[in-house]
Amino acid sequence: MKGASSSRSTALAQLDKYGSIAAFALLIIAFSAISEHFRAGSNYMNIIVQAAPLMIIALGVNFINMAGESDLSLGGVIGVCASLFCGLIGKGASPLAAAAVAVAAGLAFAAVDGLMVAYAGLSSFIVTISIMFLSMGVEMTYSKGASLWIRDNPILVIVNGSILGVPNLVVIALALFAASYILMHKTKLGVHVQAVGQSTDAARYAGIPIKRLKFLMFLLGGLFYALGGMLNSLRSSGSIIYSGQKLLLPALAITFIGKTVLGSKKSNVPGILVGALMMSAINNAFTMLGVSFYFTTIVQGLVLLIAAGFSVGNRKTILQEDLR
Amino acid sequence: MGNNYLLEFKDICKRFPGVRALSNVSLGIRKGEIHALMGANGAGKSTLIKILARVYSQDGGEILLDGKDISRATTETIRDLGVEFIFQELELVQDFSAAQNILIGVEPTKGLVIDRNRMLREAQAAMDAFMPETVDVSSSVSSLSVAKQQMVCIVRALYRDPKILVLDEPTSRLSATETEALFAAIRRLRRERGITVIYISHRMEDIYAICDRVSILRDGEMVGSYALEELSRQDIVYKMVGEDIASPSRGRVAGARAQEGKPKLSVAGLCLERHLRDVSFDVYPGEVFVLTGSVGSQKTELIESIIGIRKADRGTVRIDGKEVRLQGAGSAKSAGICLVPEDRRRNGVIYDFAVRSNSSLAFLSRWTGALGAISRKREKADTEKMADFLSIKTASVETLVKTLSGGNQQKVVIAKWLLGDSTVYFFDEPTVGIDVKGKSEIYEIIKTLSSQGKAIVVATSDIEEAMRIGDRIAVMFEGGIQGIVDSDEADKQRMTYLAMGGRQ
Repeated sequence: MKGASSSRSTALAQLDKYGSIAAFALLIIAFSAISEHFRAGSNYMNIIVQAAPLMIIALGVNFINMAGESDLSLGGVIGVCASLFCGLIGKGASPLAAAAVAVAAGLAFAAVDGLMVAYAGLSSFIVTISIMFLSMGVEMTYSKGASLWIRDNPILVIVNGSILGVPNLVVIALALFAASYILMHKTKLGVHVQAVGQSTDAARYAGIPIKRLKFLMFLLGGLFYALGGMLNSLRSSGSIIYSGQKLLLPALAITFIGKTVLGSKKSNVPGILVGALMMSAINNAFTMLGVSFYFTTIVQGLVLLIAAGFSVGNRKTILQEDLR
Repeated sequence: MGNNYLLEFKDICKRFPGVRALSNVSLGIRKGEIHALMGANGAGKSTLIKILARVYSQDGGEILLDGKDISRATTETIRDLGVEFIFQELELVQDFSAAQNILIGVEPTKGLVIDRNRMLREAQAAMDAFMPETVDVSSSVSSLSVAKQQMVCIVRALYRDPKILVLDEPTSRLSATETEALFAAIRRLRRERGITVIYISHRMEDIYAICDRVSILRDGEMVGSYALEELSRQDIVYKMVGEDIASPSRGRVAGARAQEGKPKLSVAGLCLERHLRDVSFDVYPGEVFVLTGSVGSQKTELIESIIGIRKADRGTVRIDGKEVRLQGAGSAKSAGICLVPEDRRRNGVIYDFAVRSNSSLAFLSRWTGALGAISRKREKADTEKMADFLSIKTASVETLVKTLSGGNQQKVVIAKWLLGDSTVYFFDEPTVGIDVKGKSEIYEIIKTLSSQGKAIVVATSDIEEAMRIGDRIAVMFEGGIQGIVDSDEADKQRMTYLAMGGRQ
């Protein structure tokens, strides 16, 4: 009896650990079987390129999640960064200067989030949803509701080009992924952030500066939103109003898919890679299958819900831990 | 005595809403001594220690370390002053490895990156120095037993080479060999590094095995500090409990009727991994059955397993001879069972609700009319009657519960369950943090309930209290019942012996 139950629990643990990766593989196989457009060789690279900006943004939220907070502000902040970037280039600013302004804007909003949440102790949900609407207003005010296009700028060629057949966007995204992985999983800082996110008491015991780390994670998030927002606009040659809104739901879905990867049920960096590819593949497949784009948010909402369900830890353990 | 104290508490005062936790507590700790801090539950030991740890800040008084006031320190900086704590709550990151937890905050790095191999090596060495071949530090903390998690906490504190080490009930989760390893480590550190230790425990054995001096707190006041050889065990118990309850009143109403008829509640063979080992007992209508035992004896866990808040691995619970499978407070309520929980601040009352709404919360449907609306008039009348019956000291039933004293808050919790007409009542530490007068009022309520034929189970760490209110007393030790004693035959020494793991 005991043997049976323990082999069952190891099977469950394996499912926990690799279930979402297996689900990802199954999705790819299924989509490839159904659609010849999906299985076309170049489409796979398309999926990866489409995933790149989204993954960078999800890496940004993930920093904040790993510190035990949530962030919805990206829904507006990304739009501000992208429209500033595109608008300034349109007015003749150098891409570098425009990027500096966009990053500064991302950091500024993040600093407000961070101060309110980490230092003033407000709920991150409320603070960041306020900042989302506030920044959407800023974007609207700046762009006057118009789309801001970039035309004939060398930066378009650079970012959308490729090295040795690998698109530059993918190179940039992978570099940021690697840096995030090392920072969050290999350095003292990252491990301390994880401790803060998982057990504030234990972190406090260890003398870890909880407020400072949370604040820092918001800043990093703001930086990645700005980077992701700019790259996203370069991919589509301009910033369309409220572009951040469209990325909010997929980005949150990615973070929840990410939690289900590796079975820890905790926010982690590798999970973001899997989640971003999965979201991108789903979006791509729907386009290839000719499903109406009206339908896309419904599916994204469902994916978020399912991933959130799977990311909840084993109920029995939670109960016993909580009771201690 | 001269002022040769390494650490000195001066006139520390601390109030919580409705509870006076510490009043003018002064205490001096000498360098290199192992100083026991004792007191009944709720006497203020943990509060005092948490003020030292800066988890709470005191309302008055100061703490001097090497003559310097440390009130400015925070939870984050107090350890920089060389003070380490091992609290009752295991403050570990569950998903981290033991090694990560031991070296948290002081991880060795190679460049910017944590040197994982060196971390494992150092953590394993520290662990083995404490007790060889027990914990593989690369395993995640969540996979370790509670005892091993406790050892990880201990090793983490020792690794930092503290000047002062504060241990709050460190052995409640440890076996005899593990306890011996802890004592050996403490003795070695004192010999080699002159470490100073503040040791909080209920276990007399521990206190006499390792401590030099003892300070005793009672109801938030310092009774005094003594060299341990000056005091016998009885002296300590006497000073902890005080004179008020020295001669327990034996006016139990139900005593004679106890154990007549069929048992109301039968628990048989209850097991819960790491917590309970084969617990069986019966409670009869009109009987007050007391579970006693020190911290770590798993009284709360037993009650929670009966109610179904925890899922027992084995065993049965019967009500009136019929087996029931309870799933928590809700299903217990329908079965006529109620629990007055241990931590009233967290589980018992809603602070910002009035006495009326707190009391009526559990059985609101009693006062609902045809459309499901609550009849405020009847609700108010009934809660007023109950408040009267329990003599809850409140201006009116519309007063907010947070403004009441601890004892009156506890009565509100009791009111809530009395309004439901249950037949089995569980009280988990019903008098913790309540003054002497409040205590005796709660004893009266329990007596009245038993005279109405209710079956009552009271969990209490206070042996005096157990003897005062119980018809029969089950003494628990590490998740098992060591013996069940009729209160007429109960004597304190025998019960203390059982509570420390002795056999009947």
